[in-house]
Amino acid sequence: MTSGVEFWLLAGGLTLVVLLLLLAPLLRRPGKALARAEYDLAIYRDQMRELEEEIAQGLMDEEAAGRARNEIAHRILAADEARRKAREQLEGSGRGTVFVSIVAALLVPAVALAVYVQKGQPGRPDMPLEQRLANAAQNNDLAALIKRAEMKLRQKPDDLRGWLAIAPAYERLGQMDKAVEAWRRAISLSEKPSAALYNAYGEALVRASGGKLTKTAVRAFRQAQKLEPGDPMSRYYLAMADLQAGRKKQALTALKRLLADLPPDVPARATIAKQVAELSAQPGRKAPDSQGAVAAGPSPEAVRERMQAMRNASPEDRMAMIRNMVEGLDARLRNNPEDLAGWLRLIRARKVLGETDKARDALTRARQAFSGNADALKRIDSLAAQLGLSS
Amino acid sequence: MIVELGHYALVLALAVSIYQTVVPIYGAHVGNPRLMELAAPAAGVQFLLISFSFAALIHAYVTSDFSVLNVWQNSHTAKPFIYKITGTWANHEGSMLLWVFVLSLFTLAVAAFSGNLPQSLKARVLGVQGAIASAFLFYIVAVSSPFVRIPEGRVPLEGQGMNPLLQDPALAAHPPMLYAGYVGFSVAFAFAIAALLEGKVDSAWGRWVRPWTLAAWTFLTAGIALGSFWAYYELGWGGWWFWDPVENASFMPWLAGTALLHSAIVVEKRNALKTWTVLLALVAFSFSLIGTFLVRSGVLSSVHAFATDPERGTFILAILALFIGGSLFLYATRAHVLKLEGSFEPISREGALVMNNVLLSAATAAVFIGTIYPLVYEAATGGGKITVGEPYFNMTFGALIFPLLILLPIGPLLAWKRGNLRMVLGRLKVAALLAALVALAVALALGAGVGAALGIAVGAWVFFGAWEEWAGRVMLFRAPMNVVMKRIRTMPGHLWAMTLAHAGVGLVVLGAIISTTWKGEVIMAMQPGQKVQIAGYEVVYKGMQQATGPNYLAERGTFEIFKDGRLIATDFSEKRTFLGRRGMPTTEVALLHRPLGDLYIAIGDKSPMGRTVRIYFEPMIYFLWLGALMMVFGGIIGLADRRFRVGIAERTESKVAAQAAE
Repeated sequence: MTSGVEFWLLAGGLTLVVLLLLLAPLLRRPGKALARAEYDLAIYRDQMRELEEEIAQGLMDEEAAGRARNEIAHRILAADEARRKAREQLEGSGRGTVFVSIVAALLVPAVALAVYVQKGQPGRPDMPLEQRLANAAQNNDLAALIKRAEMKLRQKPDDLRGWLAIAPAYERLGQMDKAVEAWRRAISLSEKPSAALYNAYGEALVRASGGKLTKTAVRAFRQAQKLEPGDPMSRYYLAMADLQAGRKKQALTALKRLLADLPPDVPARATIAKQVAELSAQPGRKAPDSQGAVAAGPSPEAVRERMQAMRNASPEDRMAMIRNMVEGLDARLRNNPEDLAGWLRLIRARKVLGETDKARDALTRARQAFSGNADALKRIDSLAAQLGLSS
Repeated sequence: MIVELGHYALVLALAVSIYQTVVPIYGAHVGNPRLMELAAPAAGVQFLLISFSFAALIHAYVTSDFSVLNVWQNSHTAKPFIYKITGTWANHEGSMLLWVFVLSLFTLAVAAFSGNLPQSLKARVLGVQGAIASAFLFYIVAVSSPFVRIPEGRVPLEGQGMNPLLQDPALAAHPPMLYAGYVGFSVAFAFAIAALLEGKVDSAWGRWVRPWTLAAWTFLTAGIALGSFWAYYELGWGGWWFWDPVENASFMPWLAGTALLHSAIVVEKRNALKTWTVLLALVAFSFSLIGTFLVRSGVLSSVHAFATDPERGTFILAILALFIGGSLFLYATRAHVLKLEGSFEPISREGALVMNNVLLSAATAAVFIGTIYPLVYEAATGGGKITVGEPYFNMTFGALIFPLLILLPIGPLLAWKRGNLRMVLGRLKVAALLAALVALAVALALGAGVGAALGIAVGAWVFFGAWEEWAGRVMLFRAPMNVVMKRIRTMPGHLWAMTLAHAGVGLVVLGAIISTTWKGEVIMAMQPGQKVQIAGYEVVYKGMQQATGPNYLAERGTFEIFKDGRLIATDFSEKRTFLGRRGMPTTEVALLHRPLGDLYIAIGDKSPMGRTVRIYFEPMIYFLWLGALMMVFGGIIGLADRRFRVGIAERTESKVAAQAAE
């Protein structure tokens, strides 16, 4: 509301100045009004002088000069006559002037206000882009944060960390095409792109095409397999690709093998197991629609299952489960250290579990990962202070 | 908050403009000098408010404040700084604000330089200016506001960008110049209305109107020349005038304004042609209004533009009806009160100026019909499309302008009231001889047709005629050198203005005829390394590369130009695709200025045979720009002439100062 008050103060001041300027002539003593003929006379005298100059320069012959002289002299005489008559009329005008002019002047702000409150948005602040970008972190303005990163990347397009940071942000905003491009740039800039990077690229491609495993996506997951044979994520998607291509048997075999290879504590197991069960139970049914395939990663279903399992488990089991999840998170952050929220979660979890040394270790790694990012460091430090971890 | 304050200032300006209309005109009507005195401060306040508002909009553009709808629609962060500023008026809403800004500037100038104006006339002139301002401000505030905001929370982070064709230095300066011309005629209009209200037009009135008309004419000339120059090097077709409706829209007020400029002389010097001059003042501004609105409303491309935005369309029609219809109605009912005086023979300076006016008016009408006919046809046939092209304009306009050009050097030499044609022709012997020689030379040496030779003869006649008149004035070759020098130094500004402007017309005619007659043209698909001959030059196409600019990507074709086997230049032509706006890429022409003309290379699209390349040789095309420059320069010198600045209050002072100097 302060900006509103400020606005009306400024607008009011402006209006006041306008009124003063408009009515200023009333404060002066009235100047002597001159008759029209006085002005005409001045012009004609000038014309006469110019004529004489031209004649002196020899620009006119005698006859023309005489004619012109006569004509102007005639005008001067007429104007002189008119002036004498007008002098008498000029007296005594100007009654009610002050009243009329003040009423008219007061209508000015009235009209302006009436129109402006209809059309304007009193007190609404400006939003220059630079200011918006500067305050993006404070205002939790994700779009502006991304824009800022984009501008940095436009200047330094070979900044690998920049692309790695911006890609998940695009995904969060659902701008999958841009996310795909960002992952692609990250891969081409990495000296040795990891399987995780190819997986991320592949997943983004899948989401961008509405769950379809395009040729490019399949190629990405194959690449991940090549780099890290046995990597579960790419195996899963390649199985889904088989499924979408109608090679159900192959898909089923691959999924079963994947299930067998996965450690028992991986949360995604449940989802895969369910899919395997469905596929083997209904051999005649068509491949599940692509939407099902997209829900890899922690699908809502998987999360719900996990929560359920946790609620039912004994306190010891629950603790083990949590430790398991934390270790999983730790491992994930080693591969993909750009996830600030993940780091914050990890540090907090370690502290809560009483593993202060590991918490400090996570803190150091998080600081390393975000060494160039003042905003992120600030958040990390404030969490550390909150948890009493700052040395 | 600057945006909202700018918006508020604009609305306040609207209220002040109404005040500026009503109070002084009422004051003049009842003969109350104190109310009339309120006009000038209102004009000043108006200017301050609109300047602030305009500055606020520019600020929003410069800071990329996309919470303003207009900024989001027309700007882009990657745009170079200068185009962030000019982007402010490269769109309808912003350009209307520029229009009223220029109007307020002119109104302020009238208020400031009107020490020599009778109070009632001054009050009425400022009042009429206020009425024009209030109509435009009302239009802006009601349906064309540049200060509309995008709702909070939905403000985008990037703008949609500005039309790439308009991202060009010449076109950055073009609209302000053009508007200064259009709006300048509003002063003549206001004087005409004031005269009709007063019932008095005399020699003094003619003198007051002349400087304002000259100022408007000068700006308009510069604006049109810039626009033409831009079309020449930016559109990539090698032409400089297309009789395009948008061009005609600015040309019509220019023709009417040129007529007004000349007839006002007759009013001042001879107290004749008064009602006609008043009518011309009304017509010149009416064409300015039509020009402004036709171009900006998009109605020129199709009457359907009106239907898609009926609110604005109706508004625009109402404003046109109010000012054009209203002023002509006032003219019809009041013109008879203007006393007629000053008789003259047909062969006299007045007679020549009447011919000038008749021919210019007819030419204006010809252009108007050609411009408006497709619209009328479309409306009448329910969507039928026809175009009125160059042949029509060349025939009608050409036929009318030809006799005018022949008369042009003769007029200034005729005496007022009764002239002697034979004597005048005697004084133009040299010009006639030179014109004939030049025409003969080009006909024999270059094999020009009769039409071209005749055109060149007329151009040379106008050009040399203007200078022969000047030579007669300064007594060149007839008096000792020191006398001649003294005469050159003391020659009044308005005479210089005439000589320069008339000679400039001659140059433009020469440039137009020569560049169209001997234009060289090669359009072909070229492979890298391929050579082509044109007008004695050899152009080698070296191939295409990618290039990047601040806000565009470009394909750049490199050309090497040889003359007599010697490399004289390496030049580039580009096709630029701009960020933000999709659409046609723009063409950047390789332009090589040579003494005999421009070599003009523009790359086109890819074709199976290679890259389409258009190469033109434009002989003497710079005569056009040089001629326009001379006209503008003449206008400026004319404005500086001391005689336009006499005021009765200052007169005694200047006399004292002159005595003190001696």
